[in-house]
Amino acid sequence: MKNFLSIGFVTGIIGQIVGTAIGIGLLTGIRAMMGLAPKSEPAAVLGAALGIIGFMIGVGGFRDWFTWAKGEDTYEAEEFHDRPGVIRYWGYSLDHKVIGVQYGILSLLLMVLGGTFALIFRTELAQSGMQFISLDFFNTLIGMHGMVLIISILMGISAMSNYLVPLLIGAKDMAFPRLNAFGFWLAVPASVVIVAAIFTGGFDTGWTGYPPLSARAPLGMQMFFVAVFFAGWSSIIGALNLIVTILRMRAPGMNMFRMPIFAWAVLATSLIALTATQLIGTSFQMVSFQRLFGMGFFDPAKGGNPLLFQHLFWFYSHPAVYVFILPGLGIISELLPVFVRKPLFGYKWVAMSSMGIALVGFLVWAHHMFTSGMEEYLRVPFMYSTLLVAVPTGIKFFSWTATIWQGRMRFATPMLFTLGAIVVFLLGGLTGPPLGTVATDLHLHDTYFVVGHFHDTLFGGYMFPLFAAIYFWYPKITGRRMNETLGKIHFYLMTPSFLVMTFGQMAVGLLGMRRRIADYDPAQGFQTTNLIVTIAAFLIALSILIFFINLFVSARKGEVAEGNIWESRSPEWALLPSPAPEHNYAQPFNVVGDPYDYGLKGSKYVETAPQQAAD
Amino acid sequence: MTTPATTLEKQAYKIGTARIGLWLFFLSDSFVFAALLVSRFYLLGDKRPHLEQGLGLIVTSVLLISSFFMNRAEVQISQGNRKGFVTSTLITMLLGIGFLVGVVGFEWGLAPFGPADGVEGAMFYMMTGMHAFHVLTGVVFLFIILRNGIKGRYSPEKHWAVEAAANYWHFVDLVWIFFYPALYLIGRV
Amino acid sequence: MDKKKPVSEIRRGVIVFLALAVLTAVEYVIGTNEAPTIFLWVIAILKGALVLVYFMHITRLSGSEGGH
Repeated sequence: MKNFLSIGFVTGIIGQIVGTAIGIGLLTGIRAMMGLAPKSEPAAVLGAALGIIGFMIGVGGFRDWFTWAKGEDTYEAEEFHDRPGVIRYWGYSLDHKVIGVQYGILSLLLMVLGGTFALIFRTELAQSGMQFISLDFFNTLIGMHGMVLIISILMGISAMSNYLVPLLIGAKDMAFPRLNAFGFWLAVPASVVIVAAIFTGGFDTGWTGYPPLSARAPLGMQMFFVAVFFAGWSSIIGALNLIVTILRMRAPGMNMFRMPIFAWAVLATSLIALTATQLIGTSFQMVSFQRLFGMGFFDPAKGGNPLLFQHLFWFYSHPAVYVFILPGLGIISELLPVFVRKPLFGYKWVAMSSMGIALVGFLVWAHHMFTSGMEEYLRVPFMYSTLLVAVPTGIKFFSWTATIWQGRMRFATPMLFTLGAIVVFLLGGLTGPPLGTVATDLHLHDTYFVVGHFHDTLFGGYMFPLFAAIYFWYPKITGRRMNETLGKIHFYLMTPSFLVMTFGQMAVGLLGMRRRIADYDPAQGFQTTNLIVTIAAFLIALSILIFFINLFVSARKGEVAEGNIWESRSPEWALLPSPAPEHNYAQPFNVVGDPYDYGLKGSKYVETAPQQAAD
Repeated sequence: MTTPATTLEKQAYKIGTARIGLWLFFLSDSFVFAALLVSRFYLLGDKRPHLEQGLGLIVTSVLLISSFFMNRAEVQISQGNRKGFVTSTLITMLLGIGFLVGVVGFEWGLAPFGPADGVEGAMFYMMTGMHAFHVLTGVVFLFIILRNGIKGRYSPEKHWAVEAAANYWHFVDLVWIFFYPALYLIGRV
Repeated sequence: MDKKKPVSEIRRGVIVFLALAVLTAVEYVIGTNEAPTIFLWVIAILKGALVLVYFMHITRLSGSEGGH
């Protein structure tokens, strides 16, 4: 029992329960003392927020900072040692590799959860008429599918960047290890709270939470707001840490233009996440306050304006999709040269294109509002700024094509997923301009065409690269390779199913099927297509089940990975054994060349630094 | 090899890293305030809420004077003047509490509208509330450095916590420099 | 030399504070007398710049680099 209570996760959950109880009790108690009738909504919001803080206290996130505030010193992060074995993934660790894996576990869990929501409502949509779920529950599922997977994606990119960035740039750890752990654990209670939204009445706005509907949706809406607020803070903290790490902790000799492309991508992503995320937090907080205190920001009856919410919301939520895809595109550029044995074409352009996408991404938000009734003169400028995004994205595609050109390709599973990512993301990219152009968007807005488009971009820009990264770096975590046959089955099952799914979605969208709709008229003629989309969705789920089987079985029975199995130039493969040791590089290294010069004779990227004692 | 020189260099490098982190936090946080500022002009435009001009000037002056003492405290500790540091920090903290009393205690009571009475009230309480929350956390940080300062934990070489708290305090002041005209001066009643 | 620098730093604080106080007073007069809004923005930006440079020492950021 005592052993059980020493696990950070357990004490955290206890803390969350206690915090929630205190929050609810406090407000109900105060109202009772003032002689007012108990009100469930403010009590639930305070309970959820204090629950999250309670979790952080329980898990030990504040312990060292309180010690510092008392004026005492703590151990250095470099002196931190984890408990051996798998148990370390359940506790408060300061090791960036452990935190990266923790992020990954949370991300995959949320991915399964969000995917399951999709399967439920896809089954409902396979046929017209309402089969087995209520309209309200359908709406809740749609919104939950969106937001749970968005949080899953944020956790997934944090997983990749936390695990990889310090390894790739030759740092011992992140710049602020305690903040790093804090950022991760903040997302755990936030995930609990967002799941609680289902059990507190759900919400019917979809993931966007537009007022006025969100101002009068059930209590679940508030849980959704609280969860997103704290998950957003987790993302901000992670981004801050990554920027500082990339700016300050690089190995000697690694100037900005010798950094791996993935580090560039993470830098660009983090700049967006650091700043824009505040806007979604603020806008959701304003709706929340409108519900709690009657502050009429978005209530026309009080002089407010619902359009303001859309501006604030999309100022984050559009750049957010670049947060989702940029690390994935970085993974593509990172893996492609390894498997075609050629230098990455146009390194500087690719590096700068990430920054370009990030900057242009800040200027395009109102393209989500062409049909909202905003000022008409805003339409055309936002149309052009949106189309401008295609330029830096195109640079990446040219680079990938030119890198593949005349290369000696090796079709290992990570490479398959990389190629799949390029194809799928291309489809996502090509379906974008019709939505960014005002004339066509007026027809396509809020149809399934949009759904097909963003599933293409997110699968191409996030899911496929994520799988590629997992297959590629899995040996660094476990010391064993993942099964190639199962990996190939995963790929060859998922890719065609996915393409069928999104093409089907776009087809019904062009015919006029609205997104987030629970039912449709059979006379509209998209019943068959909807059935096919549902079947494809289940095939994708099956392929992901195979992936999970592979993930678990290979951890024990996989082929032992020895040495540089992918013949990569990157330091974590060239210098480190698998699994990667605690505190990374025992011996510092110097960067003496460019990262992607595969196949160039005599070129070198990293070189172990000469021992100081030898001088 | 940990000669004193390299440890010092390492310390300096670490503080430099922490400083960048702190400024990135300011950058991030300023987006919240920028969002509120934009909302104020989007919703109210050329209209400003009807507020007590005299009180507004008083709280603004109080915050400004507190910033002066904050700066003084930081300079004093960097010169090794521990006693001066404690006095200046204490004054800063008291002025900060005075600002909170002025805004939350008086202005919120005197304003002719509640948070639920129209968009003016909503914007006014949201902006001052968010800012007051930051002042409150600033006061907490000041209390921490005051307590550790009395214990003699800071020296001219080692006072990063003071620098961080001071910078945070000035950041909160910086926000008010833009919020004050936006709420009290720009536009017509 | 050692003595001179600290004294000037305290003094600089006073000068910056006085500048901020004067600007605030001007701001108040302009604001309560319906003068053009642009002046208020200019003053706010000026005050903000003073605080950023002299109180928050934004220049220390570039001084603390060296990782590049």
